[in-house]
Amino acid sequence: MGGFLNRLFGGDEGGGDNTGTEGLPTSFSDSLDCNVDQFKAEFRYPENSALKFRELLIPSVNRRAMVLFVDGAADTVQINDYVIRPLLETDRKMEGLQSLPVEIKNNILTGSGSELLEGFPQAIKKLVNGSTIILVDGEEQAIVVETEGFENRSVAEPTREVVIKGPRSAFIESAAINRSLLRRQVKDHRLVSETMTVGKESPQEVSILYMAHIADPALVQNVKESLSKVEKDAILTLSAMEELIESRPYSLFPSTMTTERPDRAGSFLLEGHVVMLMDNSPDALIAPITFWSMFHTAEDQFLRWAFGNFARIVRLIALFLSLLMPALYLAVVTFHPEMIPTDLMLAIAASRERVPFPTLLELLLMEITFEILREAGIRVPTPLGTTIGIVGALILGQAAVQANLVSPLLVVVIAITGLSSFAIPDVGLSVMTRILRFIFVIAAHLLGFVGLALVLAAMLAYATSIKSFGVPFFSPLAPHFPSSRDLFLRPILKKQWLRPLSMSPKDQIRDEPEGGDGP
Amino acid sequence: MIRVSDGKIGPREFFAILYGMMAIRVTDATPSLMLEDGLTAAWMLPLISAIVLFGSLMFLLAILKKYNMGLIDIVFELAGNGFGRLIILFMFVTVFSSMSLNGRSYSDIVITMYYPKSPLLLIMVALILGAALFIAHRGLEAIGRTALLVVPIFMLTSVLLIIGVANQLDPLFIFPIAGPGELEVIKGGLEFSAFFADIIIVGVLADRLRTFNAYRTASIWGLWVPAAKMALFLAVYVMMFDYPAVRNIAYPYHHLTRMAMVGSLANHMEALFLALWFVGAAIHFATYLYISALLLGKLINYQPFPQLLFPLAGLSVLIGMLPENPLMGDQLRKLLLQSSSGLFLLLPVFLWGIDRFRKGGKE
Repeated sequence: MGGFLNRLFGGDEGGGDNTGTEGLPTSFSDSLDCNVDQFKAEFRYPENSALKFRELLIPSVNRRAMVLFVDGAADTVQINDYVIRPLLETDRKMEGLQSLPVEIKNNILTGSGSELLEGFPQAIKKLVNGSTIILVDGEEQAIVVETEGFENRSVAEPTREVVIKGPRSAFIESAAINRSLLRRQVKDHRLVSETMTVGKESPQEVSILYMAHIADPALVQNVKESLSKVEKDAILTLSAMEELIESRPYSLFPSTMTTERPDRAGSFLLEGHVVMLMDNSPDALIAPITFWSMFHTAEDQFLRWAFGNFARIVRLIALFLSLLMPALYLAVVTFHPEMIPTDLMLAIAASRERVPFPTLLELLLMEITFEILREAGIRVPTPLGTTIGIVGALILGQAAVQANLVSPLLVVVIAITGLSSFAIPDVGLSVMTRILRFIFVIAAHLLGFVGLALVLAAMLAYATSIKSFGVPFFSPLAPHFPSSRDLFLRPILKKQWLRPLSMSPKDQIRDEPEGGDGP
Repeated sequence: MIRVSDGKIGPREFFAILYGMMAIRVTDATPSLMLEDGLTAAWMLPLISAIVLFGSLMFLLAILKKYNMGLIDIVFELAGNGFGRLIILFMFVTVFSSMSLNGRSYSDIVITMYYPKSPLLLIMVALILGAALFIAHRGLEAIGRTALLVVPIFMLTSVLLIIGVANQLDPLFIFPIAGPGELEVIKGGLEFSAFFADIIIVGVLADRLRTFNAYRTASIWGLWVPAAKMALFLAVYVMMFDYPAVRNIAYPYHHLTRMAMVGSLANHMEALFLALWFVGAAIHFATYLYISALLLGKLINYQPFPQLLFPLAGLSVLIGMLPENPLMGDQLRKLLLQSSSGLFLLLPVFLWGIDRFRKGGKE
């Protein structure tokens, strides 16, 4: 803990403008050619054909100007319409005004976002992000116009977090579109969207979103500090970022999660979590998470109370089965056979009679085969997908039994385990149970139910003592804090008026249930 | 603010810790000791102990409220450095030896009732040097939160167990109601009050709670609920096995789980109860280990006391291996209980007395 706190509060401040542009003059000169040459040198022109120029003469002031943009990053149609045409067609008299760039920016350009820049590093950063730079001869300032034109796919349906009932849009690879999807969910002027830059060589922007009136400032600060400590030359996606900002990268228990659903991200925002978005990542990173964030799905709240809770009970059972089923089978068969009803026990004994392996080996064999099957199922191209089904069902299910490699009951056990692990909604939780399962199997092999109990107790102690950005993993259940009791089960929406205090939201109450039926 | 490890625990976690420390006693050799003395009235002993300790607890709460710090600091403050150190030494010796003997006792139960072929050392190492050490090492917060997660399950399964054996109980077995006689029962209750003396020992954790009110609520509930559970189970044991047969049963709880039936199909559920019991045992020993280390740390002025957990756990396994058979361990345990009862009953009264005396002196 001490080390964690030291890392949290001590250490130097990283981040800043590390754009890999050391040795550049920080400010522009007043000679247009000089400035353009500098850009050419930075972009390795002419070997690199990415940087495009368009020279023009602004007729009203009779001065040369240069429009620069990066091929592929900027949208040429926008540059034509909002930059070049207004510049060429203007007939405003601009003599006697205080500053030409200000005048151009404010009164000539028709694009919505533009600003003035004084230095090369920022200008280069803007260029690679798709903006257009306008340099005017004799001026020491550059005008930046937002003309971002990266290719995007359209907003599609979620593939990992599928729901039967509820909104169907999913995040895509553009941070701007993702922000707009999120704004559409949470229409609140207090939804703050901060931007930070990570990566030294090829900087990427990370948007940090939170509700200013709900999220705990210390929590936001916590997240921002972990982000600023990230030291890496290039971070391409949020998934890589996820590991870099984690405080326990080796742990099986995740401390962040991703969601591809804007509505889910929105509901996290409203509970005081911090959401991070990044270009190229079709999901949002949720910063402090608890067990419940991973256990719940978006649909629980969309379905009616009874259905939602039924699904949760099923998922809870699935979680336990996925974690413990093979270990329970092993413990019962090897240590506590008296638990099994006599008829079933005779059947098991009969089916195991011809299997030459001890139960542990049999179990591991089957379990590892299943994991291979699962991994193969993800990697295999879609047209071959059915092959996996045939191989799995026939070879593993039937042939293995007929060849006396495993007993039929074990196939059932592994099938239930596998099925249960697919019912766990979050990838992090699912992977965690898959790995912990093996630890439980070993424990059950060594000491039966006693071993299971000891490992379970140790695992619970670990799980309850870890924290994600300072928030305990099982809060608000253990440690207990007042909450809306949306934990294993959920109360009806009308009763969920309290925000989870374990997140220490600044505004604790969602909506006061006053008088009669409440709001 | 986000609760970045403020190290404090809430009332529910504290209650769960107390429950894990005391209620689990119904499962070990404690009931046998009580049945030996209380006969058919054994179920009154825990209640009498609890009444006596409740008085003691009130004194403790009064001092804790006044000084607003942990019991150790209060002892040093009131009894002075030398004498205070002696008291802490006594507390440490009681807690630690009770943990060692209990660890042996629990492992004996496992070997007698479930795994007759397993080596004793393996079970003890797995329990104390494995799980309990790990949990204690994660800190008091982890102990409390883990206990909070599992204690509701323990309560539920206790009820299920009693329901499972309900149709085999004969309420008439509980008579004669006063057992060996009123005086004997009261004497026995006093003698065994150390069973619930944990309620005084946990005073050392008082400064780790968020508020004094949390401590008060949790400790009052944490005294009565385990005492009531013990009373209920003692009554159930007598009603189930009848007196004097019950005296010959070493571990009544584990026999009870063997008798419990859920319907006609699942008639051997004892392995499930074994698993739950051992989760409880891990938490129980983790708590004891933690408190031992805390006491020893204060005793020898060693601040980073979590580093003492490992040597203490190892030592306790060694001490636990010393008794040659389970019966010897039980005799030692009884001796320890009877000798420490007085200490824990009188300690709060003693501290309160010094406090009054000093106050009187100042005025």
